[in-house]
Amino acid sequence: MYVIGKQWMWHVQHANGKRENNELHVPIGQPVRLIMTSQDVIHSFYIPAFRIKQDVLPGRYTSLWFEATKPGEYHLFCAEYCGTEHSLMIGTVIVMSLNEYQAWLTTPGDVIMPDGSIQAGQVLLNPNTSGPQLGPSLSDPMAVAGEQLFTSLGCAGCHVEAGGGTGPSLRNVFGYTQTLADGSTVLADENYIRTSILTSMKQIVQGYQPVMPVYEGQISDDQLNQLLAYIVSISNRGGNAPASVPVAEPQPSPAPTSVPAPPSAGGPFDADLATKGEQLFNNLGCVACHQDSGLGLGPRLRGLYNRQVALADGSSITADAAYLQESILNSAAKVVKDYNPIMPVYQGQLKDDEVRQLVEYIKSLTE
Amino acid sequence: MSTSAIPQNYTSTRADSATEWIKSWLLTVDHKRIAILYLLSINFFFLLGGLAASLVRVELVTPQGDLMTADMYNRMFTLHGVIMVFFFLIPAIPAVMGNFLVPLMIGARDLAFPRLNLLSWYLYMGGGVFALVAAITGGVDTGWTFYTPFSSSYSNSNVILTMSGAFIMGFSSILTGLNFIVTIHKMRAPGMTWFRLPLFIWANYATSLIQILATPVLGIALLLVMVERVWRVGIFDPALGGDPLLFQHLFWFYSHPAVYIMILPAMGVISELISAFSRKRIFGYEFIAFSSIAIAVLGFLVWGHHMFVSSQSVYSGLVFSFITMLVAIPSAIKVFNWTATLYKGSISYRTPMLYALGFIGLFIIGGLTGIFLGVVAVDIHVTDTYFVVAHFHYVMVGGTIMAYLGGIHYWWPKMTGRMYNEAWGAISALVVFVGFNMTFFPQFVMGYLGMPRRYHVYPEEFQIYHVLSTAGASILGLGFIIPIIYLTLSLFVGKVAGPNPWAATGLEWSIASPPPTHNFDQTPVVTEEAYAYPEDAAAQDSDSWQAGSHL
Amino acid sequence: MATTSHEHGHNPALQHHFDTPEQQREAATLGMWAFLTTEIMLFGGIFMAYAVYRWAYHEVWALAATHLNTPLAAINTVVLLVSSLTVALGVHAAASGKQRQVVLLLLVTILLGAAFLGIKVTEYSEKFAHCAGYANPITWISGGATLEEAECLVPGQQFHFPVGHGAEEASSLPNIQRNAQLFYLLYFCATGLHAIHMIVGISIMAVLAWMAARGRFSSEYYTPVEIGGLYWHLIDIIWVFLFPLFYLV
Repeated sequence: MYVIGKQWMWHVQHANGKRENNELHVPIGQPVRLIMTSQDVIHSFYIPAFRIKQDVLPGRYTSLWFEATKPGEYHLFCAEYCGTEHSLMIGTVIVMSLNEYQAWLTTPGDVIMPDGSIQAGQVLLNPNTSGPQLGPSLSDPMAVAGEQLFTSLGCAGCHVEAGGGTGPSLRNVFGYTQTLADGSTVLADENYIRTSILTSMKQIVQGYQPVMPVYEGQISDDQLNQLLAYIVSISNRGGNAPASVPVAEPQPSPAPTSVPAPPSAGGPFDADLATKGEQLFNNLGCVACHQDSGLGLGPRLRGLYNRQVALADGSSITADAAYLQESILNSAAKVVKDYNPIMPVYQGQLKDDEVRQLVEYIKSLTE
Repeated sequence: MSTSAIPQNYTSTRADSATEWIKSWLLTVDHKRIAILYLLSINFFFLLGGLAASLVRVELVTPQGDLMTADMYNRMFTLHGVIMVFFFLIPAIPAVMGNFLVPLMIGARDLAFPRLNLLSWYLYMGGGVFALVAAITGGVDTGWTFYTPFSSSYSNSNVILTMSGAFIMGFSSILTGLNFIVTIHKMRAPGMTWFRLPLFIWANYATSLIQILATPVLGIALLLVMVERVWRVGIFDPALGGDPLLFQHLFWFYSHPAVYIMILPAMGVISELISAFSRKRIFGYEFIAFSSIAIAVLGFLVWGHHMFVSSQSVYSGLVFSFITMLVAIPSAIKVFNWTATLYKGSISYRTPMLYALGFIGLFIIGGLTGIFLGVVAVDIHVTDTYFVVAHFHYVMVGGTIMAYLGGIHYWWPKMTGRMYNEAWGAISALVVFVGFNMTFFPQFVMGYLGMPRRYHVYPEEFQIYHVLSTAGASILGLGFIIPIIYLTLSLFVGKVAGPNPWAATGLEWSIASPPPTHNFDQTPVVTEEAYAYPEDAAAQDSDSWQAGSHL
Repeated sequence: MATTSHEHGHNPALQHHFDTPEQQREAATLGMWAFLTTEIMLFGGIFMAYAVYRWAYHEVWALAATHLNTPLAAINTVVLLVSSLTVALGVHAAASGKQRQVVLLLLVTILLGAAFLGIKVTEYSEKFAHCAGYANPITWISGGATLEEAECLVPGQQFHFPVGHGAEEASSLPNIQRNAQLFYLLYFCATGLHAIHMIVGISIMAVLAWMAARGRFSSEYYTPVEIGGLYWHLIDIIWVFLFPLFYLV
């Protein structure tokens, strides 16, 4: 579970997204791991009855684990002087049976959504996702929220899961030793993931360029926790991650998020060039905006070739090879309707055969 | 009032006017007068710190915050800590008793640098003025430990003023230590070899080593926090790229040795008292001397035991824990040596001895609970609770303050030429002992039960302990005030003491009470070991004891 | 201070609480050595902070240091080393009882110390001038050439580390502004504290020169010169550590 201490209260975030303030509901007989950080000054998370205490620092994660053995309510104190209302930064730890805990988890309450907002009266549900099931659970709602963030913030553009992207694949990263650019090795624990998200330059992985944007100040601690949960969930060493308690019944899955594609005309393409084009598409970062999910800053390119495209000026055009080439080199000429004219200009940056490879790749993207 | 029986001494001044008399005291370079200046100013700060403590304890009688606001409470306990640590405990025994006695005990006419000594006092007063101004203009609410980033980025109180006060006081401490080191090295009387020195001198020597090496680090730590507050640069604040743990390391690197600055001179006093009031040579002289140095050295290696839960690595925690166990050994050696000194001694239960015996018992409790705290697993539960508060009050009040009071009473006749009223002395020693235990023992219990420190309001289940504690505090306060009264009265109506009312050994007892300004008419030549009581002193004394004897 | 009467057959510089001049000299020397140890502990704290942040942010440290005026500081190093030489010669002259030489050497030392401070002032004012937008202090006063690229290396609200020129990596280093500001803060703190000690040192030298001119010293009694020299040597040694750590990163 995630704990955020701030002047002068405790926020707790359970694996399924349920939030509570100044209270900590835990099940009996299950090891519970707390991953904690502070939003301002040093606090200290103290449960006298459990004989545990750990300082909670701004700018890093600290952690605690325990296994409650007796039901009841226990004191939770802040044990590091933190300002005016330090004495009021107290709460209750409620230990309940596993069934009661699961029931509690699924009662509506405050929930943090993937976009960072807090909604009352909600329960984050477990959708079924495609892809291999690894680690504790890709159906862990925090991990699902993290996965959504991973996409919406554009991480997926560089951190291609299959590898070969601008950034390393994050599958099986958490819990493994990473080799950094300077030759040193480091264990990819929670703090490593956190630092890499916020200020990646500190530890660039060997073989990769230091081009990852800096996210410090851009995302909240809650969103960080969700991303962390996701990255943990796609590692088969994620077993040490905050325990996600299996929820009693499976929940109905929401509607799929991808935009249904209109029927496409398609056409023949050169497979060799397309393969090279795919590499370019990833290395140049095109994939970051032109996401297959359709949720990126640029339009989805699958099934685009030879389809009718509505432009911003109201006109319509067939997306033939010439259109694709022009859009790559000088996109401002014809911006697609409902999209912003922010695509970089690649005229003069790409060689002719590189452009050809990209066009062949886009042609190869069929539904 | 029989002033004619008291010879011309260091307090006499040939002054024609009041201003001349004041100048003769405020511009003195006589170590004895400077000691008296310190005595008066230190007592003033002690009373101020005690007032703050009283307000804290009264507030804590009820679980709700009904006496003062949370903000006021936070400033109150910070004031108590800052004043007591920096303006009472650190200077007390070295500046009062050390200044007065070090030259006397080694047979010198003054300290090595008398003018520096006066400067030390002025620096102490200057720092005190800063702290007072800070307190009066709103106080500071960071706790005496000033943890960042709260103190460097979040607190709206007089952090810089208070830190400046502590910074300036630090220089006073450094100069006093410097003075003692040079004096002890270079100004011993002929025949006064290192192993003939009284153990009080060994204790002050070890203390001075700590003072000169540790205090500058505090200076830098405070300076950097002040810089961060003013220029908003990230030294300790993670939001600005700094490291909050760096402050804790710099701070505790000084503040742990600081507690040995507080206890080592106290142990030195106890060695003197135990020996004098058992009429016996101290047992294991060399062991006690070397233990003082060992405590000073080891004390520099254990600062991390204040940071077991701070997110420092568990491996460094284990190393600090191990060394903390080691630092207990020399302290224990001293305690065993004192009790061995008592064995078959001719024990006289006068006020100084009452304080000394109280010290031994209370220091054992305080020291042992320190060992409990040094075990990482236990510390995780009790750190930042009242258990720690009880521990350090046992060593600082039950230890240092008891020794301070014992020393004041023992050397009172030497400093003033008068004896205090023994009955009142014994009564107040008992009142202090009872009040002290009643105040702080319940705090061990409630700390173990989970009551955190620096809490303004608390859960009801802890109230009974707080009530007991406050009741004890009122008794303790009484016990501290009574001596002020009878000691002051003794200046006017006390019995004239003579040079050696306790029939004790030591060069300070070989001269008049109070001593003349130049201390020794002739430079003494030392031929005997320290504490050279005759072998059969015990038997002799019980044969010759008469009612009315001071012993 | 009431004193009993005694003969003044001793050197008037012998203070009454000492038995012999040797004892007084030894005490003074030991006292100065003890004091120097405290100074080392003081600067040690700053060096510790420097070490921690250099380890944490080593690229920014290297980059930030390139904007320091190393040639000027190198000259300062030579100046200080020479001044330590003149001080040592002065102590030697005092031991030989050559009063005139003592005064001369101490005056040269003061001059060198003043030169050090002067160069330091130049260095600092160059930084301040850049903050004000001018190329150097002279144009700042006379209103001449301005800086092409905004640069302000004095810590505070207006701090701005120029990332335009230099390697492209500069702009990609995270928190470069924040960490460069930390470097400059430690630089100003360390060199500023050192400069304050220099001012104290020069004052001490001035007092010593005046005392020597008044004939207060002799080959039997020249302790103040000796311990003043010790202090000067400490200031020099601290600079010898500061210079490579900050300028030659």
